[in-house]
Amino acid sequence: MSVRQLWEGAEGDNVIMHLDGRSKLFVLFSIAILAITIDNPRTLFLLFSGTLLLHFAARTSIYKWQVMAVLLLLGLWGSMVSQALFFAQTPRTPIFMLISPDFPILGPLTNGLFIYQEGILYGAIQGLRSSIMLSMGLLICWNSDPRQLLKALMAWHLSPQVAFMLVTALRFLPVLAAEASEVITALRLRSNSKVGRQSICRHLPYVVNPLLARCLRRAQTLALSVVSRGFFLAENRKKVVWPMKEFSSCLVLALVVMVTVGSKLAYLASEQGFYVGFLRYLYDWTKLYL
Amino acid sequence: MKIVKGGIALVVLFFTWCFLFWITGDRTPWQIFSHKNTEGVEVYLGDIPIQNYDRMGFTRGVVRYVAKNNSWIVGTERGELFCFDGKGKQVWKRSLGIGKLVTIALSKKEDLVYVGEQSPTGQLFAVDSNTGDMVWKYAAKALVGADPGSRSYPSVVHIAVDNEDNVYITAYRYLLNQDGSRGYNGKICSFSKDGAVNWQFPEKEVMDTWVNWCDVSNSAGEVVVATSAYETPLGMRYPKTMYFLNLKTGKLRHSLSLPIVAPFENTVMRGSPNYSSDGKYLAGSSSDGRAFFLNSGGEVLWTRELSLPQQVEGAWLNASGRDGFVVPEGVVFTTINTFNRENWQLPTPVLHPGNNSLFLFDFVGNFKYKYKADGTMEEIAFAKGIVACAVGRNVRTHDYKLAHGAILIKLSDGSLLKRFPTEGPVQAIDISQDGKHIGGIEAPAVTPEGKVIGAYRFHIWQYEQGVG
Repeated sequence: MSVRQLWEGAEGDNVIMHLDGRSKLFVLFSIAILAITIDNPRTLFLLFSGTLLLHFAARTSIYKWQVMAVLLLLGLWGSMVSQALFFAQTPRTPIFMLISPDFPILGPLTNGLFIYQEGILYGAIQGLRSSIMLSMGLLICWNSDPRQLLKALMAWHLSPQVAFMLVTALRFLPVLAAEASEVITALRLRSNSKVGRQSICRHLPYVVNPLLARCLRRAQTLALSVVSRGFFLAENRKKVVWPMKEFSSCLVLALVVMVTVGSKLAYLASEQGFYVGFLRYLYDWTKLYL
Repeated sequence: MKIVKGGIALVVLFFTWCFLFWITGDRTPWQIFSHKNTEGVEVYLGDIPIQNYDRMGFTRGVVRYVAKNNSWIVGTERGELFCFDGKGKQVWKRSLGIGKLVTIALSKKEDLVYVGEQSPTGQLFAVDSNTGDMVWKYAAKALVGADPGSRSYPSVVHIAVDNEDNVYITAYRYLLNQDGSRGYNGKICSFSKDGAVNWQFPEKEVMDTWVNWCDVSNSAGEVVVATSAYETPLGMRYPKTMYFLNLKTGKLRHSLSLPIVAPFENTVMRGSPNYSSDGKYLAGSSSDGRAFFLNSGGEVLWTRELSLPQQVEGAWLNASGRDGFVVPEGVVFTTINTFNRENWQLPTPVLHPGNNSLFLFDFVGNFKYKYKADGTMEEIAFAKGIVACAVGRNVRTHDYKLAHGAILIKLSDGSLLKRFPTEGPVQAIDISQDGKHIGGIEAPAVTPEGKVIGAYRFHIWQYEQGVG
């Protein structure tokens, strides 16, 4: 699989691919709001597992799974390890001592290095948040034609210029990756060096200039084609109907998001003194599950 | 090779998923090898500034057991009021403002909980114990004034409730005069159950003394107020130890000055006196370490020395008396840590033999027993035949491992029934009438060695035998 194929939406036949662009974007935004709003570790874990299940539903290829696994692992473990070591809030319970405060030189310098149990969980929560977004982002990216997303944004009356720029930015990343790969291949051929990580590292400092030149050329071509096709002049676009089934599902999801955010806000308000007794079951639910 | 590497990433992701499932659940990995304290549950009460272990004014909290639904009302230094069920699950929680909650009382039917705070306005809150809804509130600022600029905050320091659910509070504010001298504004106020002010004492002025305690008896038709001002400057209008007020009108019936012992200028009471259930007697202990048993007419029936100040190597040492209760088994008094009279923070060459103790006398004043704890008796609460004691810091021995916790003592003979150890000092306690449920608030502290011990948490312990 080429670098470009890896990052671009591929043609395929699965449930996610057939969804309307608006539905996909709506789900993405909703999940983003939920990931930010929810603090409960188990609920976040379930949300994360849900996004992984969506990848199964989308029949994500094994190669893409591997790439996603590496990215998720870096995020999750990076967050957990760093928070476990440097957790600064209280209470914090050291469960393992890496460097004793009495250890020569390093001990007095660091005041001891410990793994804190609260830090692991805190790191997991932060890691799960970013993993949910990464997983959902890749799902949409791998199962959407950029035109689909452009149409969705236009249907929501987003300015054509802004919508175009958004989608172009989205498409630009795989293009950039492919261009970088081509430049490295060219440099490697010129220097007659072997394939491998070492040769990539050796050529990396020389990648910037050719890559920038190629990007500028592409941008110029793109600008000319946009102007020549009169993209921003089109006024009467054909309105695409949002399938009723998807629209109703999105309404239900919106309701879930609103209830979640609402109950969280009510709970936070209660902490600031705006407490209403009959909402105490809602506060209870929020504390336990959100 | 590439396939193997990719496969490893997927396998690691699967194990990471399992690990996340594990740590986000209730049974986390770090609990596997730990011995769970099967005697009770703990609930964390939030972050608070951790005080130095040797500090005089220390972290507080208030707790009351609600028998009607086996729940606990807990007030914190963060101004938050919680209701937990018997298993520690939060029933409701509400934030009452920016102040510290310093005193608590329940109405007779346990439908209202009264909470007093120290804050720039010094509110008294009446909160529905079922829902956490605010029923009414009253700002003690209206009674004793406020000067937030110089951190002189009004405080509702004690609440007493009579049989008709009228509420009596002592409100107080510390003043630092321009000439550097200390002063006090104190006032007693009575409220009906719906929050209407019945009366104030004094009616048109403030008491120029520190008032820390009051108790009420319907049988005696009286409210007793104890004062706590060590200095009695010339011209002081309220220099006496106790003032007895008419329950209905708040008019002064009579007052009482207790004899003074060296090196004190005045006899003061900070955590007593309290009426017996029939209202005929009063028990109180003074800060100079004496115990008093009085009748409701204010006549001292007998006095006993619990921990009289002693001069050792030129320094006056004393262990202040604090509580005084009349129970069916006799009259109970307590004392706290040993202190140097010159300055609380100064070391003492020896421990006062009467410090950190609970004493029981019979009704004619015969000594029955003394139970000595390893730390301060911060608060005591009674069930039938049992007294539960919150054992806090010992600022002299710095005994962190043995001292802290809650203890249950058999009232008839002073034997230790049960000890519930905690890492940090226990600052507040209550016990159910059947003696089976005990709730205590543990506070964190920074030791002189710089180590943080304990946490701000609420414990619920079970004592299956109960009152037997």
